[in-house]
Amino acid sequence: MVNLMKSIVGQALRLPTLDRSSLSWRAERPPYNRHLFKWALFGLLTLMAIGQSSVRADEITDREAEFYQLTPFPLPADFKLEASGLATLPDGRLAVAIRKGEVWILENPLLPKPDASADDYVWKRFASGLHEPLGLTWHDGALYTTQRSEVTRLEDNDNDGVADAYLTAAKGWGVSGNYHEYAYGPVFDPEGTMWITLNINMGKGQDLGIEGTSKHTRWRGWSMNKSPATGAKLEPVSAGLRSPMGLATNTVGDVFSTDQQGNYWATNPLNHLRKGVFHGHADSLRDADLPGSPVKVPEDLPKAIPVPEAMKIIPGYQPPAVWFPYEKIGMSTTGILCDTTKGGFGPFEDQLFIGEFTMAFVSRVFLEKVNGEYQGACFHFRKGMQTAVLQMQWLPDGSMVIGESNRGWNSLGVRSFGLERLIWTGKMPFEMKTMEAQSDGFLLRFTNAVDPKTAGDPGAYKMSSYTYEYHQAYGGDEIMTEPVAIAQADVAADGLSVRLRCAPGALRAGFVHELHAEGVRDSEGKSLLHSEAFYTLNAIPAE
Amino acid sequence: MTFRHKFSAALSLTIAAAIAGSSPDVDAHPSVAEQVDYPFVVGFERFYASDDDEEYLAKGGLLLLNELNCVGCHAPPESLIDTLSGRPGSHLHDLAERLSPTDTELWIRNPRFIKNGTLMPSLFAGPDRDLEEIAALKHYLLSLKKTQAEKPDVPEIPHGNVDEGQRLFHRVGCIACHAPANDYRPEHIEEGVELELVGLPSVPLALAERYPVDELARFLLDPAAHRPAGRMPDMKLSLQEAADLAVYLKSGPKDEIPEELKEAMKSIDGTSGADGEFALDPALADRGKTLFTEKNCLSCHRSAQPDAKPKMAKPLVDLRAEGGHGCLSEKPVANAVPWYYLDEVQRNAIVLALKKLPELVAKPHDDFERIDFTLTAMNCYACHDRDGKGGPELAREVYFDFNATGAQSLGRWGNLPPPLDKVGRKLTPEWLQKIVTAHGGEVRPYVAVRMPRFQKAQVEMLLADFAVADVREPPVEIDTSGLPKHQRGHIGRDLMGVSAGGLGCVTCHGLKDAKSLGAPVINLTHTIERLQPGYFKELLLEPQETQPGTLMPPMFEGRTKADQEVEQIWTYLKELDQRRLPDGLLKADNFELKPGEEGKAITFRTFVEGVGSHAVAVGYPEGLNVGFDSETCRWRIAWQGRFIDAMSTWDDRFCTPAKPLGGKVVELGWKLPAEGEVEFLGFKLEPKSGAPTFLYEIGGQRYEDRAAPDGATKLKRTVTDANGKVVIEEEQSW
Repeated sequence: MVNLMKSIVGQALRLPTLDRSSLSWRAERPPYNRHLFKWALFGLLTLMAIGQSSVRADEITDREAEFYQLTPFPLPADFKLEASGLATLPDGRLAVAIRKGEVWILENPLLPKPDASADDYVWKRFASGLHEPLGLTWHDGALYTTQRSEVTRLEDNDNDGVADAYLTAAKGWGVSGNYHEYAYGPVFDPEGTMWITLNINMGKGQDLGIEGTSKHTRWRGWSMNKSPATGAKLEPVSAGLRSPMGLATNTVGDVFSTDQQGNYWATNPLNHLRKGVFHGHADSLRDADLPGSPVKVPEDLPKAIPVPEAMKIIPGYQPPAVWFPYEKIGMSTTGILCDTTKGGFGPFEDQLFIGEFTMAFVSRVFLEKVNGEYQGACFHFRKGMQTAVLQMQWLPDGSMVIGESNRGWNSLGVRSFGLERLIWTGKMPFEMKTMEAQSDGFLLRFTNAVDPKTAGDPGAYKMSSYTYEYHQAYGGDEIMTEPVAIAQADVAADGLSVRLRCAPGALRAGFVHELHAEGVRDSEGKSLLHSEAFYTLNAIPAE
Repeated sequence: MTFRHKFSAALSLTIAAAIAGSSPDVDAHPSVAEQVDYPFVVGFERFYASDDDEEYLAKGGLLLLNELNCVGCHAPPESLIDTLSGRPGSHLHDLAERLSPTDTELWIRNPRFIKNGTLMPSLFAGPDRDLEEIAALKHYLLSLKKTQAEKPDVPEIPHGNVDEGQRLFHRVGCIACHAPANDYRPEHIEEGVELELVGLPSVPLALAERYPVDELARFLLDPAAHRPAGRMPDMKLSLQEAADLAVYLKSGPKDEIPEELKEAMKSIDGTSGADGEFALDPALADRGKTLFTEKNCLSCHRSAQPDAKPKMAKPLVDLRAEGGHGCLSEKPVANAVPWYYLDEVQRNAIVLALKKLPELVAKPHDDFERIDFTLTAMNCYACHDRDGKGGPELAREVYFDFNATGAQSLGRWGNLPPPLDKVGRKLTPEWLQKIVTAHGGEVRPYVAVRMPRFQKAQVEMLLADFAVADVREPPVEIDTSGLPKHQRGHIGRDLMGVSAGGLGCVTCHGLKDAKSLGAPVINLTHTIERLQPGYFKELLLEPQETQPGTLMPPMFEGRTKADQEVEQIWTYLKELDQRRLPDGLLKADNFELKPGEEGKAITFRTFVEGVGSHAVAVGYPEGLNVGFDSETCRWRIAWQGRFIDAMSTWDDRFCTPAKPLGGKVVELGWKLPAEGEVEFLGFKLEPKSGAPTFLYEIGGQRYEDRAAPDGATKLKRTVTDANGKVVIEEEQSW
């Protein structure tokens, strides 16, 4: 029977044209030269962005430094601070989890000396022997970290500055010994519910020489949580994740995670985690039938369809709130940090900062709710970190501390691990603060008043939109790219916002809308510090 | 007449196999995957079809003119001689060693009966078929045996293993062209994942059952020794691998010659029906030798009579560009016109190609068109893509396995052969020649599929065309002089390392014997011999534009001295054998954990052999160590002496399990204090000694469990319940 089917398939496929002009064939396996096109386009846009001049990336970094000053913490020799978790203690000290399995306390992270040396900082080891902790949080009077096989509460009962109880706060997911089974978190939401995210495994587990355990790698690729109210155990929440390194709440306590471009992820996403949704990576669905799973298995996952189509036909599929177009704004998103500094860090209150591994920078996300679902835009924020960014945290003075390590994968930069501090200089950068969807376009809010002449000229803006393919293959190109014509740009009386009106029907739901506002000047004639914005328009708001 | 027999034989065998239920499943064998009834040219099957426009289909026709070796009789125009170089037929000089008399006769009578989809035409399908001629040719062909002097040292073929052969068939790359078996699952595919049937055409696997198993193995070892056209390339098999593959290929269903057919064949020389009865008739063989020239078998099989010259028919340009006559007739015709079993699409394509010939004479193929032509003819497209064309279909990609832990994280770069875009300026001509036509030159050991070895004669033009087509204008300027004024190898070394100021190339790239620190990508030891310096620089400065989709990050973006730095790295790689490895690859650190030196117990979580993935290893200064499995709350092993090496936990991406370093490992049979659902609650450390006490609940009852040295040779376990009452006390001594 199977043979018969095979020969029928063979026959059927012999008839259609399987040549380079055939769309069906292309859909099966995207030709790589489409990347080339993307890069040609990117090159072009970059040229436009920098006004035909030869501004190099380091000069952009210099401009950023005028507003956000980046200072590495000098480290003692042989102190391999692969910072994978950051928590600020109530007394202002900084706790740092490192990948080899320790937690260190930096006694004086705010040391004011401008040219402090490594000796000026006081480091104390608080915990050791942990299994690759990837996350650190202060909660309910103790530090919590997620190891490969459990969430652990670290207590120091005799107050000697060293943990003496490693208490299991949550466990119950499968660990086969495969290297890719990273576990992240925890994060606590305002109700005190503990959240974690779990990588899918990449290939087989390891033979550890014992029988009967860890054969089922349950809940890999899921987010999970544990509520203090119910006293329940750790429960599965949402499925479809791949390598969800970033995990954080926003100001109102909703939980988000980033993920990594790869199979099922054409590019990096920001996902809103909540009960019962399926984010897209299908490996996790093998557990959707287990008791406790709130996710229904979508029958017959489609093979390769555009994301807007997937949004319509896959039950329970929730598209990312934000896509980070590949290379244009990162290759590998990591930690998330919500701006709760109430202005201490500049004008981006309530927004999310996003770490970037490969390209060693921090980007920024504005979110809004349309039809009850989060969506929004990502912007460049600050480049030039010394290596891969893993986590960010606030210090008590409203500066950002950044934990770094590029072990296992490469990144830009000049070091392989470290800790840096990013301080707002108090000067106001000229930036697009928000990009908000409207029924016929977007509302841009700026940090400084714009020059009405340039900002009111539709020609100062260029927009295109594209989406991605939902498919099992690794990564994916931007597809169905079209220009988006901007018909009108109305500057508000106070100069702080511009209403962009697009040609009727130009907005496409389910598409990323990429905006370039190179032509816009502020009232002093300065151009934007970062002129690109990438808005993920999952839904177009009604009028 | 013959096809019905074949079909019914296959069908009955299928049923028999279903009942027998042997392993691997005969019914699932790749040789039953496709039945085609036209000459099978894989490049034509994949890229051309009936609804193509005429302009495009003509290109497919051109491919057929070459692959069916039409040009063996009909000389191509001078201007297309590089494209239409023809496809030589098999060597026949040792045919008698491989084929039985019956199969030989059947082959002459009706080639496709023996070999499904064969490109060999029938010369005896016409109405004027002369059975005596068939007999004569048969005796001639069976007289062809290598003399002892001609036989090189024929390797002794070892005993093959069917299962191993099946694994090889699906892993080394056979399935790029041939159909995979229905009962095989690639190793990296998880349980429950459904495999799709392949959609693109598969080259029929038709001849294996006809060869003796050792001859088949010898053929697989060096296919070109039999088939100089090299469409079936050398898969670089070891003797054992060839033996395994051969027994697997022969494990498919056997097509027996139906009795009535054997009977029918007896008539001429009275020997055909039973192979044992065959006796060579020298007179018939002599007649066959003459016929071989007369029938123009020589046009394809020149090696059978190297001194004779084939007769040429009308040149290609002089042929009537219409179907319905000669070789393009819809039915076999008389007068020794070869009959190819062409189907309608193929016939149309050939006619269109003939029509287009005058135009092509005026404007012959350039290197771009010729590259596409050769990649199609040699089926390089089965594995590689170039200019957006080719590469394996998704349903086949799953068989392209990963050969190293962690390669899966590289996505397509971890299991698929690289695209061929820019290859002419990427690889040095010597390396390109080596990787395509010789042994060695592979740099991706983590990719399971092999780059086969092709015949130099078949790909020489392709390699030359690559070099011309892929030239970059303007060229990338790179100074590789290594002049000390600006290119210092040691600076290149610093750049490649992971210390301050380094770019960390060694995070992904290994050098010499040292593996990379993280993801396994190409080892850079042979970069200088392998890559052209201009491409090296182009790739480093603009990775995505140069190799779209590459995982190589834009390391040099924004670096003002990028040009110079690339040259410094090049210089370092050139001087690699005289220089130290970059920082990061030099393993100077010692990661052994030593409780004795600490003066207190060390509690360490990692994957531990014999303890599991939730292991907590505890080492005591007394030199006793114990492993606790926090998933089941069971003590698993204890050992004496050195504790554990933290290297794989602290400094490695792939978390290889740690092993007890000391000796005298014992498995602990210690029981839990009660029955019921166990929940691990963590551990607390005794402040002074650092000794952990493990906490857990069984059925809601809380217990504390501790195992600590009592002297240098005894480990004492104590379990207390929630009231502090000791419920278990036991020990392990050495």
